[in-house]
Amino acid sequence: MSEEHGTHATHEHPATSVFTFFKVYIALLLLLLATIWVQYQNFGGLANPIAMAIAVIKMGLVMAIFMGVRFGSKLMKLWAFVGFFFLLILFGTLIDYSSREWMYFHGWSQ
Amino acid sequence: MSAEAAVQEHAHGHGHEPDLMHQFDTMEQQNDAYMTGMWTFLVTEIMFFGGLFCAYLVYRYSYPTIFFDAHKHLSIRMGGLNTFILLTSSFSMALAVRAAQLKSRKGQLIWLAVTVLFAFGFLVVKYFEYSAKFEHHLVPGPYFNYEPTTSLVNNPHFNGIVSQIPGAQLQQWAQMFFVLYFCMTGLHGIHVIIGIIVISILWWMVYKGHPATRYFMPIEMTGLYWHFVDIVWIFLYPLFYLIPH
Amino acid sequence: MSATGYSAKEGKKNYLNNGTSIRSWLTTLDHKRIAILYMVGVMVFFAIGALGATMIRLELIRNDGFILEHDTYNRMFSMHGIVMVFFVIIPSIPAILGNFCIPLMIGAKDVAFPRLNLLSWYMYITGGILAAIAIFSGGVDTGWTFYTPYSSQFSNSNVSLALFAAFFAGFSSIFTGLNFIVTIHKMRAPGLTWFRLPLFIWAQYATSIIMVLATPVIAITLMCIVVERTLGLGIFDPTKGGDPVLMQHMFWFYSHPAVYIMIVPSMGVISEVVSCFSRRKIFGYPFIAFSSLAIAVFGFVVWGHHMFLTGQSAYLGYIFSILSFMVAIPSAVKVFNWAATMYKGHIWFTAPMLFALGFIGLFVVGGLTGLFLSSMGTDLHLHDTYFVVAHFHYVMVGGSIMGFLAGIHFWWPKIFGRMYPENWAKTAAILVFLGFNLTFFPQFILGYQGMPRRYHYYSAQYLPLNVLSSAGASVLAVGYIIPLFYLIWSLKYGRRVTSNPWRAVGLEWMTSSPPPTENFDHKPVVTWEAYDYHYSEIDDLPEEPESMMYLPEDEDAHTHDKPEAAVGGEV
Repeated sequence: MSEEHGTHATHEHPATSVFTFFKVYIALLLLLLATIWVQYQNFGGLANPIAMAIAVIKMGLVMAIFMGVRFGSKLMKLWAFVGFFFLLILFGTLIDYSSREWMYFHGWSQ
Repeated sequence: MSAEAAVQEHAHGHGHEPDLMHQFDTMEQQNDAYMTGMWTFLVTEIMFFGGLFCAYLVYRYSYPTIFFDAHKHLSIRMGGLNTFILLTSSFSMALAVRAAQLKSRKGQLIWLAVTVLFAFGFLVVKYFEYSAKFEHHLVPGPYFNYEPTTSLVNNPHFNGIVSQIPGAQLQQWAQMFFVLYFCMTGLHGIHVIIGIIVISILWWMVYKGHPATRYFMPIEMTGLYWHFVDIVWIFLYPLFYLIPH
Repeated sequence: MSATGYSAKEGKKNYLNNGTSIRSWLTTLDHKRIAILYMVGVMVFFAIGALGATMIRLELIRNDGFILEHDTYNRMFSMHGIVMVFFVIIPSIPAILGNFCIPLMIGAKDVAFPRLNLLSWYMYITGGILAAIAIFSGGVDTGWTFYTPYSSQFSNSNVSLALFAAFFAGFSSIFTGLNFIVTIHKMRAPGLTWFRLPLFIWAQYATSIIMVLATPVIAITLMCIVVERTLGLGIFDPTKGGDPVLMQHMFWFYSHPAVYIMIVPSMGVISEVVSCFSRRKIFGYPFIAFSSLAIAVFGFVVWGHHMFLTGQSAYLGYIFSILSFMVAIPSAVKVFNWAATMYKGHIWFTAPMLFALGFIGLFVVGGLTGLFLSSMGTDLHLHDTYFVVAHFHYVMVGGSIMGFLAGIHFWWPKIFGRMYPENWAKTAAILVFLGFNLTFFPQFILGYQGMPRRYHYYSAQYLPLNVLSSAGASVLAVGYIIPLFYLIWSLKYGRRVTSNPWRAVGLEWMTSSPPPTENFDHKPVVTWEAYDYHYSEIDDLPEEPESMMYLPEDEDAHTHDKPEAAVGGEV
């Protein structure tokens, strides 16, 4: 058998207990309240990063516990990572928009 | 057909594992293949939504003030309610998958039903939100007519900026916010509807005791899909409803 | 590892004669049959795309637009581009050769998800039918790039239909890629570790990653244009606050990696063919394997080199330019490794090898001229000229199609159990190589002199080179038509081959030709390294290679009708 067949975790992992799921659910709801609370505070430039950080934590909880990534094979974890990595590359488009204004070359002004 | 079907039937009936497809050797290999396939599919879904998220990023970067103002036309409460609904349905879906692992038919029936009910709840809230947009001329198109909120006009911080934006551009930029809002929540809504259909079929199959539901993989994969739909909403909510100052 | 162990079982049940009705083909879940379904589809679209190319080259024989109206000319080159890119080159090697060979090469009974595989063919055909409707009910005039705002607001042709067509073709390739990734990860035979895999598999794996990651982005982009055309939601519309350059970003985020979807599988084929016909273990296996992955990953960060002149930030342009240069490194690694493999090899000039050598020559020219285009200063001059046209034809036609032809000849005896006529094939390989250079090399000069692409009225100074190019195109056309005839001819009259006519290594040669429905009679166990060719084996080769390649004639006679009835039911 190939390497992964040997080393991966099988899918027949012990079913996560209802209590764990419930704790995660409550945590998600608390994070939802937190993100709304942040909206009404005046964090200035930090508000957006905080809101996104909370969303990322929520996503991490859903993926790790609800979707079972913590029991998943290495391959599954790699895929979960690769998706977001390439999404970030796509978001690199924003570099274009943020650096267009910098441009000044001698001789281009006329 | 018949000859090939016979070969396949033979291959199916051949092993001692009734759910093992002929191209796999062991159940473990088959489970792994399904999981890898589903995650690969989710990666394509990430990139599929990613294109719209990229457009959102670019336009929000380009028109930050107008996006901030336009987001006030969305109801934080409605959006929060929908987030709550989706998180709950995700929770019940996780319990449904757990029930499938423990081979509890009753658990699957209950939790799948709860999931579908909450998914419908999501669509109902979405329906009220969308119809409010129609009433307020906030649906992009010929009838689009955007009025800046008074808080924006009176806010000393933004006052100067708004007066510098010509009326036509203000309309265009605000419209862009709602174009993105409808495209992204619409695409997400389509995914919710697909989820409802799939979960309902699954419920019916469990109810009828269809042989495919002996095998927990279909429900597990549906679960992954449903959690993905939830994750998309987790990001849509702060991006559209909670734009900070 | 006796490679001819199964040859005694020729003439038994195989995938071709296992069910001969049309229905058995259209509902098949067998990866080998699906590959043949794809082959038929790709051939049809190749003919449509070639029709467009023919009209373009005919039109350009004179500089006054003497055959086609302006609109018709635009529709012709758009049809050529859309059909050739989305319906021919992208599915050609992955969906035909990949579908056929991957499970055989890794010792699996089938791909991981056979039903998804069939679905992907139906998606492809749905897209193809939509494209055909769009073309024959008035055509599309946006070019294959669908740039906004022309495609979204001004074009009055069947753009939406063509967009849906490309959307379906995209999902077909996503499903294919998904299937391959899972198959390669999970279905390998015992003992077949990653570094024992044939390089074709590595190339397909890299390609599948690109398909899965990049294609969804173009799918959503095309849908945005459809929404813009039909509902008026102007995501890319500058009069509604949108930015057309964003569309180009999203388009090229897919379409540049798509260039690697086209070329990387071809490189995989070349690795197989070069190693086999040089009778040598491939030189630098890990370098070739990882260069495929490197091309796949680098391919994602160079899309902006298509947009140097669009008002994209010049700073980002620098980055894209530098990264584009870096793609040349893994590409060159491959070329050097192939050359090193052939060095001191025992080269056997069969038709696949000639096609492969042609590939290497043309790909080097195509790749090097890519460097001209990726440097921002030169690109200012060459952008949107025939230089670009010549460059990407060298890569896509000289690269992908040559690789495809090499692969189809290499595996033809395995696919149908019959050999093509070797001399005709060699003639075709030489004609394609000469015709191709005659067609496209003049276009480099035309482009350098400043002739813009997509124009059919042009200044008289470009006339001689355009005539030369059209003359070359006619040679190229003959080079493509000959294989069509002799390959179809060989389905019925070709000599029946043994399981391993080339004495190649690799699991696909260890089962009978054509393979049985479940590929192998016994689950193979791999105990040897990849490309286990030994130089000393040359002494073992019989003087007359015929005896190892072909079955004896009398056996040919009494197993004559079986496979052919199956083929007849499908073609």
